[in-house]
This record gives sequence, C-alpha cells and structure tokens, in this order.
Amino acid sequence: MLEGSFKFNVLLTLPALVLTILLAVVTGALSPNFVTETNLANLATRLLPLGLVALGEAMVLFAGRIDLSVGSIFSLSTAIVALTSDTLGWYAIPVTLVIGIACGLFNAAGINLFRINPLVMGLATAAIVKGVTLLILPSPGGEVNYELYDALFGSERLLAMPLFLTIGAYAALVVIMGWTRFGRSIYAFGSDQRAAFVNGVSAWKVDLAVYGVSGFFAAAAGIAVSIKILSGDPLIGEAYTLDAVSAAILGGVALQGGRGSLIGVLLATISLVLVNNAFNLLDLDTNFQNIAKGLIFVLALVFFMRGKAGEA
Amino acid sequence: MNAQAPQTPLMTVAGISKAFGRNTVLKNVSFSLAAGEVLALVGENGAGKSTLMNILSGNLSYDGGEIELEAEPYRPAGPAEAVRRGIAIAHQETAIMPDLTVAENIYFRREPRNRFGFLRQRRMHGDAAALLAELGFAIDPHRFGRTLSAAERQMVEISRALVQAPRILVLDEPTASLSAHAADTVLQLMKTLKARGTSVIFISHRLSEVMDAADRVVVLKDGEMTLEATRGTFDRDDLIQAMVGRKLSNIFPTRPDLDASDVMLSIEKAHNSALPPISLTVRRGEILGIAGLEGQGQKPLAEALCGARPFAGGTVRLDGEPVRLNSTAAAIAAGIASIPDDRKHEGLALGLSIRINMSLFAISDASRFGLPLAREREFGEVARKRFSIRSTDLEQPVGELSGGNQQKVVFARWLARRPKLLVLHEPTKGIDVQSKSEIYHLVNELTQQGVSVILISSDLLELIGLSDRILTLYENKVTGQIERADFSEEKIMRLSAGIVAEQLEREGAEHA
Repeated sequence: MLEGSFKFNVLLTLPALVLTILLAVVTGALSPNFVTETNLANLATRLLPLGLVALGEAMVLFAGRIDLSVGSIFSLSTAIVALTSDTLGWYAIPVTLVIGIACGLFNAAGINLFRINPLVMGLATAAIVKGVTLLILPSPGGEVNYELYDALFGSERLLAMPLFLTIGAYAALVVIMGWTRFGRSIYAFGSDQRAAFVNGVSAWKVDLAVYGVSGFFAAAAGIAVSIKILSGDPLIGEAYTLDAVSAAILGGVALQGGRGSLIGVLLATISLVLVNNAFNLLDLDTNFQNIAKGLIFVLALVFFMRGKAGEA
Repeated sequence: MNAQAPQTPLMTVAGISKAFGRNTVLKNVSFSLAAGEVLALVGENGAGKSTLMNILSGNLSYDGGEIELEAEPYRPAGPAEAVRRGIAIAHQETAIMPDLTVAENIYFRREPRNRFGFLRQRRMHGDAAALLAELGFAIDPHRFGRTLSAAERQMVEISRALVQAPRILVLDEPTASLSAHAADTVLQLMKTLKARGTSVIFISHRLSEVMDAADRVVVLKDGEMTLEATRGTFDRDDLIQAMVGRKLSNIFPTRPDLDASDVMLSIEKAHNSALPPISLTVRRGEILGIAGLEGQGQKPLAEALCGARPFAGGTVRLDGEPVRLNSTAAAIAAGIASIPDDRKHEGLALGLSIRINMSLFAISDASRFGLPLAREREFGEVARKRFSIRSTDLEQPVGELSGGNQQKVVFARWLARRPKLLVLHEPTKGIDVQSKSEIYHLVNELTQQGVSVILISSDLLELIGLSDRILTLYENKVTGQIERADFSEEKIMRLSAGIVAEQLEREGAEHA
C-alpha cells in the first residue's frame, strides 16, 4: 500500500501529527473544559470550514500553483446563501457551489490561457469577488433557512455531520491523490511542469481541476459558516486564505508543488483549530492568537524548506 | 550482421520537408527503416536532426512528402498517436519528475492498476526493478527523480520509452551524458532490441558508436540529406565529410609549434567548494582543450577563472604575476576574458543593438564618464568587419542575429579589452559550420598575438581540431593530459570516463 512517493508524502505528515498530539495533550492538561462533549463538538464545527478551504488550497499547491482568492470566494458564498436560502431553500447550496467553481475556473483561465502569475491572479480574483460580495451584501446580514442549521449543526456532538463531512471530503481526495493516475498527474505537474507536459499531462486540465476543486471547497466552507451563523458576512472569509495556505504548509505540502499529503493537511488544520481553542479556553488575548498563527506559518515554512535544486 | 536484417521496410520516409515560416529546416529527406534495423541519424547541431525526430514522435507536423509506417500513411496528430502507432522516444533533454520515484517516472500514465482503477504501487516498483535489471541499468526504482545523475536520468528516460513497447525506439543522443561503461550498456541494449525485432533510430555525435552500432546511417546537413548508406559502405571520413560538407583540414586552422617554456597561466592546487584542488598550466599562445562528460567540473572551472565563483585557496599566476580572481571585475582587470556556455543568459543583452552590446564594458580606454557615440560607432564598424558579423547594421538588436553572429559579437566585445587569457566554454554550441570555422580561425589568430586560450568543449572534433593539448576532467578532477600528436577520440573518451592515464598505458602495453 505505502510505496514510493506516496509513502514519502505520508512521512511528510509526521510533524503535523506530533504537533496535533502535543497541542491536544497540553490544552487538555491546562484546561478541564477541553475534553467535554460540547467543546469537542465545537472543535468539529470549527474544523469543517477551515478543513474544507485548506483541502482545496492544498490541491492547488500540489500542482505548484497557489489560490489566494479562497477567502473572498468564502465570503461571497456566505452572502449568496444568506440572500437566497429563503427563496431557494436547499437549492441555495448547489447554486453557491457552482458559483464557487466558476470563480475557480476564472482563476484557471487567467493563469493558464493568459499566463498570469498565480499569485497576482489570486489577488485580482479576490478583489473582484470581494467587490461583488460587498455590492450584493454591503454589511453582515441576510437570513439563512433554519432547517439547514438543524440538518448540519443540529446535533451538538463530536460524531455528527460536521466531522463526517470533513472526514468524507478528505478521504475521497486522499484516495484520488494517492491511488489514481489523475492524482499522480497533479503531483507530476507540480513537481516539474515541463516534464509532466512532455509526458502527456495537460496543463489546462490540471489547472481546471485544481482551481475548480479549490473554488468548490471555498464555497462549501462559506456555506457551512453561513448556516452556522444563520446569516452572511461579506468579510468573514478574509483570514481563511492565510490559514488555508498555512495549514497546507504545516501539513507538509511543498509551496513549490509536487509534495505532501492531504492527511497532513487535515492534521495541520486540527492543530490550527486546537491553537484557536486553547486561546479561548485559556482566556488569552485573541491578538496573540494571530501572532501565534503567523509564527507557526513561518516556522512551518522554514522547517519544510526545500534545499537548493539538485540536493538529495 | 547485414544479412540478418529483414528486407521489408517497416517505415519509409519519402521526400519530407519542413519549414518554420520562411526558414526551411528539412528539405526532401528520404530513407527507409526495416524491422530490427538500427539507424543512426548524424549531423551537426542545427542540421535538422531534432526536427526530423520531432516529426517522427508527433511533436511536429511535416509540410511535404510522405511517411509510411507498416504500409499505412503516418501523420501523427500528437505524441499520443505516435505512441499508439508504436514509435516511442527517449529525449536527450530528459523529462523526469523530481518528486516521483524512478518506478513512478518509468510507468508514468501507464501505471498498473487494480480492477477498481487504483494504482498498484508495490507491483509497479517490483516491475520497474525487474525491467531495470533486464536492461542492465543499476538504479534502485525507489529513488526519487531529484536524486538521479544526468546519466541515470537518461537511463530512466530510455526505460520509460521501452515500457511503451515500441516498434521503433527513437533515442536522442542517448549516450551524450553517459560514461563509457554506461554508453556500452546502451549500445548493448540497442543490439538486444534489434535481436527482438525492434527498430532503433539513434542520434549520436560519437562517430565510433555510429560505426559500431548502426546498420544504416543518415547524415543531415543544413536540413538536407547528404548521405544515406548501409553498414560497410561508409567510413568515418565519409561521415565527417557529409556532416560538415568539407574536409576537416579546411575548417580548422593549422596550429604553429609553441615555445614550451613560456607559461602564461599557472594554477597550483586552486580549489573552492565546487572544485577539489586543481593544477594546470597554459603556455603563451597555447590553446588548452578541456574535455569531459557533461558536469565533470567544467562549469566550476570556468566560473572560478572568470571570478564568478572564485577559488578559495591555492595560487593562480597570470603572466608571472600572482592574481586573485575574487570577482568578475578582478578577473577582467587581471586580463581574463570569458565566454560562457550560455550566451542567452550570461553574455548578451538580446534586446539591445550590436553597438551597445559591443561597448558594454568593452572599451577600457574610453572616457570614464561615458563613451562618445562616434567612438562607439567607429569601434563597432571595425569590429563588425573584422569579425565578419552578418547584420543589417550596427543598430540591429543582437537577438535578431543567428547564433554564430551573436557569438562573434561576444568575441568582439571581449577582444577589445586585449585579454591575456581567453576562457571559452562551448564557444560554438548551436552554430553553423561557416561561423564555427570563422571563430576557429579568429581564436587561432589571437593566439598568434600571444593570447592563451582555455577551450572547454563537449565537441570532440573541435577539441581535436583546435587544441594544442587536451586535459580530461572526470568527477571534477584532471584524469589525463594528451599532447597533440596523440589525439584520438577514443583516448579522450576513455580518460573522460575516469580511466586514468596509467591504466590506459598499461592496456596499450598489453596490446602491443
């Protein structure tokens, strides 16, 4: 089962695993409220949106690209759900997902057809999407159908929909990335675009796939949050872009592409949620939380830094 | 051997031609290939070999003529169709994914899968181990692409082509980066394939290989076929004549004898992080050739001499004076001119005119605060004539010139500084024969004015034709020195493969 690059990629997740266990143990030791059904359910609820955004971002990073528009797509999705769920009901979800995918395809088109630098394209798409969001929902508001809340967050337990959805999404993509030719092609493309192209990988298909998936999951995360807060918020997704990239890097995904495993991304997402949880449980200033998250990101980058080209 | 080759052609190429815009790169090329036949495609850089190969592999279409494969027209829409029709190619510029293992690279997009469509990683690595062992390539299939040497990458590239079970295997300079031993493995492999009925088309610059392995040879020059011959009906001289269109003696200048005592450059145990201690001397007016396989220390040596990656210790004397080549500026000031192997990235500002490129830090005795336009023009015109740079005028951007003429601009620029030592790294790569010959004569002329030259080249003909003495590098160390009287391709190749001189002499004694 574990052989070759797949084995190596799974080994890259070890630091995230250690960090997750460490954070859980430390928080558990410091706060009696950590291992309670309410807190664990709360963790799963927080894990869902960040987990989904990070999943999409990691897919883009595997291909050696980056998507800086996920936060904006996230915000837009909360706005769309808040504005349409009254009239569309359940159908608001697929409509929002399709719009998320469309944003991803816009990224893919700019990067692949017009050769726009992925960093710049992400920033541009983010600006456009943010503008549209603020046009349709200038300030937090709107309303979300309560039925949706009941279905998704109704049972306040750890083993409930939020956790199942997160695990399900990761499981599906872990299988695709690790055990299919398609996943292998994405890794190959991220590893060396020219070599992958010479071997018959279509850059256009890879870009469409990874940015489409990223847009889809950013939208899904936005949907989840809008249902949770029962409204839309045009700026709520802002912080998710950095958190998503951060989770992917912390999980062992190479910023240059071609390396890493989604298992590590899930573990890293759990770590970030635990950091957040620890700050809340221990009643620390939330500003320190941002500083801590930024530092974790930098440390992860340094830790996983790829050596100079050609080194073993 | 010739009698064994089957008579029915597997593929016939009939009068094909190809042009890019108004530039015709292939003119009326025809040959045929039988099943189990080994065909060598020979020619200088830019002769059209790559174009022909890209047509066969489906990367390019052709304009005129007709190719038939197994009596069916062959006009592949892309590489995938070429593979379907049974033509696989191993590129010289390998396409190895650094983050995939050797096995994953070999079976990329052809991975064994179970009935659910999932990859069978373990089975694939096992298959790869068996395949590599069968081919005689000693590489662990679990190693990652990024850890492979140039030679190993080439072996993986060849293995990948063979996984496609081709009727015709096209090998683009398969041995260029290989040591003599590994090259033998590849030549042996071609014979094995031939015995199995697989046809091989290989491109090679090593004429000894062509003589050894080819049943049929096709020589291209400037897009035209100048020779098609079967084994036994041609010799080395025929090949060279067909490749360059004239006798070698007309391309290379005649070198004068040198005064052995007058040393221009002496390096004693100089070293840096990329280069173990190296010692060598170059006499005044001498051309010292440096031979070696790709990546055996040529680049670090060139970079150390021009101050880009300085020596960390040891002594360097130029014209009797100790010099410290701590920066490119120091090297230039000491009198060392350097022409790097990569003109596009290291030597020229392609968007600027010939005039500006020539005067960029070239004219040392010019005014400190700028150069009068008139002087630039005067210098430029003189240089353009002297170096016979073919251009519309001095204001033409350098990027519009041919490779050979670009190289002459680089020469003109450096020579204006009257250097003592000229370090040339692949000075004629990708340049037409006419320009090559002009550059050779120019270099010869310079040495007669007392300039010494270090010529680092992978082109054996060039090294043999121009050098007074040749040093071979292997794994960043000097493995041998050959005087002009003893020059031979075989000798250079063997020393380049790390077989040290003493061993060579011993073998020679045994034969005698």
